[in-house]
Amino acid sequence: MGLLDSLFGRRNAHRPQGSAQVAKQRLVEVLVYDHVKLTPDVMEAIRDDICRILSRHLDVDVDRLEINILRTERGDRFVANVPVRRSGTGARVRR
Amino acid sequence: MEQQQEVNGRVITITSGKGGVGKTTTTANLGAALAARGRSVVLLDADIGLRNLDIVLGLENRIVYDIVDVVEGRCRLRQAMIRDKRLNNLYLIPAAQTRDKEAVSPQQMRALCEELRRQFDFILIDSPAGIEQGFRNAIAGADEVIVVTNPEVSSVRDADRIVGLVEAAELPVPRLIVNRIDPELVRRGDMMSVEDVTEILSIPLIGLVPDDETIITATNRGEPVALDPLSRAGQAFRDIAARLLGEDVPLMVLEAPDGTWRRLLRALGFGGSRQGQTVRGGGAS
Repeated sequence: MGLLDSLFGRRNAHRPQGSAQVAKQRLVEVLVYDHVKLTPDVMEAIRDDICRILSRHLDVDVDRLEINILRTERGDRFVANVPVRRSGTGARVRR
Repeated sequence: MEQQQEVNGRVITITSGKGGVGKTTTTANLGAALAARGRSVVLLDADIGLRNLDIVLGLENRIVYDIVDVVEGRCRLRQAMIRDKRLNNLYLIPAAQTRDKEAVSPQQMRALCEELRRQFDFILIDSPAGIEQGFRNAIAGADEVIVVTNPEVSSVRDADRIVGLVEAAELPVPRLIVNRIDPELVRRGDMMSVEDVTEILSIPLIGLVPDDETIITATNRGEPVALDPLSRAGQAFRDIAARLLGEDVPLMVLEAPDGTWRRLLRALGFGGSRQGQTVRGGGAS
């Protein structure tokens, strides 16, 4: 099988991921941050600010709050995913 | 120079951010291919202090004056133009070797480009690597920019930075050349494909160039590979030149070294065939 595969170029069917895909993923991620010129510590500061403001009104699950900058077809987007504890005000929060 | 009537040439800067990705080779070969198509072309080496376009073209023994001599008024423009040995409508204005990037200002570059565009169909500027003064000079007088990259992480990241700077300079969105593609590595999934790179940079592709040993042998001899009818890379550069002239030329389909096997398998119905997609020239003069 191995011989046949290498002869017929099907080797990467068995590999979870070629290094090219790793390169592509890493590039996409780093470029998003290059574009918005945000460093990890600034992102952390933004996260803390969001937690503080939302916590005034909501029972936010601070440990599970995630923020990200994602590349989409319509441009780069800042996305916050803010879990709210049920026991709070009952308000529904959209991300 | 021969033609006395004024033309309104296009100033195209070839740049990359990262060094060593093939800017100078690309400039030399696009120039040769355009000249071979009958256009008048001048190549401007803007990499002051690291002169190289002359040696790639095999014109290193003919230099008397350079770009800094021109802008500082030590010679007339035409005295600094070196005519190519093979193509009589191809000229080179060499970089100065003993000066630094600050020897020329963006204003002087703009003035020089304006003067050259009245005499040539194409003015191709070989930019230095980096994003500093030398790069800014190289794009100062440009109408269009071509970004050269290789399918690897550092040159793609730098290319992305250049794209941002070109847009900030209010120039049109640059077009992309993906250079040094190894089809065998792409096939194994160990090199990003042209599609991957184009998707990441989201700028229009104007061509791809396979990694090809004829580039090395031609450069050793100081001969543009674009003039070698048998060279794959030469064909790739001729295709890009044709696209610059507004022609629709299909993208080169790269075969891995085991191409015969793959073709045989495809003929038998295994392994999907990849149709070459057509890349529009656009921006024709």
